[in-house]
Amino acid sequence: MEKWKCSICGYIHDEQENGLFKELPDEYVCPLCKAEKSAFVLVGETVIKKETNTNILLKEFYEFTNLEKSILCSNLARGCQKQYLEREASLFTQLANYFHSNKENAISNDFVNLVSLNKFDIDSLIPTIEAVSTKHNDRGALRALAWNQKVSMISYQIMENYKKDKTLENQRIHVCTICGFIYIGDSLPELCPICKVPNYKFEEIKGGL
Amino acid sequence: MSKSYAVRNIALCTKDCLCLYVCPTGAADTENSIIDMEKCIGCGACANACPSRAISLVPREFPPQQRHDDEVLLAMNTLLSSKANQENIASTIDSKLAKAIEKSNRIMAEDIIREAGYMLPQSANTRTFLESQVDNPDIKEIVTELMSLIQPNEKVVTKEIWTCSICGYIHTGEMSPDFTCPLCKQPASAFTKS
Ligand code: SF4
Ligand code: SF4
Repeated sequence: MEKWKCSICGYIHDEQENGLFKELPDEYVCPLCKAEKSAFVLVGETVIKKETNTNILLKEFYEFTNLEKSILCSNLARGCQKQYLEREASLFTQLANYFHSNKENAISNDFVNLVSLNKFDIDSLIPTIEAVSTKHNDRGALRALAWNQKVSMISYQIMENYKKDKTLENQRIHVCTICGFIYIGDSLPELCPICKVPNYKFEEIKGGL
Repeated sequence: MSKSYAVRNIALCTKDCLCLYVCPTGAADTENSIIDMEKCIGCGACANACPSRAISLVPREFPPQQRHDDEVLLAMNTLLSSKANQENIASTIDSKLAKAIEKSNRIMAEDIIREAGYMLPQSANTRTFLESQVDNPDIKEIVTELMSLIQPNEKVVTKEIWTCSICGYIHTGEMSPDFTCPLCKQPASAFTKS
């Protein structure tokens, strides 16, 4: 009897309880984070990290776009909320909305581009930044990158599934407001598989249909 | 004044009212449920007594955040820009899933920008950002109010640029009265700020 572990969220498939892993259908996905069957690794086996290309040109100079200013301000609004600074939080939210209403045009309006940008983050950008942060021993950055990488991988999986089956979005969709993890379906995990907050921090996405 | 003060999270408070009994200053006993931060001496008795863990002690002044290396900051900003682009693309697509992706990218981007030096509203970075926006007439009022409400917890370094009117030497940083131009030996009074 073996144990298989989802390399994205850590869910364990115990053959003793859940039957032989190899006999699961190819369409099997992780019950927690919906990662593909191929994302599972045998517990005890060492995972060999893929070689990644770290020769990405990072920006030399940085000035925020309006959309990024909006992100900055909605982040600061949350920071104020944590400190119970209600007035400040509402002012930062107003700023976030102002910058959002003046945001730049999107570089594309195509789902395919969305998927490929996301894939680029997963394969190249995030590993590169991880290497830089490891060099400087920046644990805060590494923590954020680890969450970003996992959430991006799960989103990639969801978008790939969506390409094949558009009815997927007729189900309930939740987003974890702490790390961005997207969950599709009714049986919400008790804790977010990525950042481990209780599921009352999830927000249901309404609309569509 | 005490280093910290108590705050009650009203969403968690079950109104069992133990905090009122233990508070030595009466700070917790207010009609609007907001603990009086002026009266509070930060003793923590209320937080210990609260059966619902609804009270926490918040520092009056936050320590400056850990510095990140410039190289890390640039790298994080590159990822921020990628996530912002994805949020933006998703916002143009009309579907429920795209909405979720838009939201998810926003949350990831906020996390990234937090680790790229903008964790605290009181940080020098936040201050510098606000100062850079104060000339925008659309948001001038909001920005000014924020600057008056939030006291920075670290020194905001705005690099001053001074030029020697005699030889053109450029000095960056503060100008002290006993400064002399390293090139032409003129006193500080010969420098003009730009
Ligand atoms: S002790 Fe806690 S639960 Fe009770 S009134 Fe005070 S804050 Fe609320
Ligand atoms: S920390 Fe002490 S003084 Fe402040 S509200 Fe609580 S019990 Fe009262």
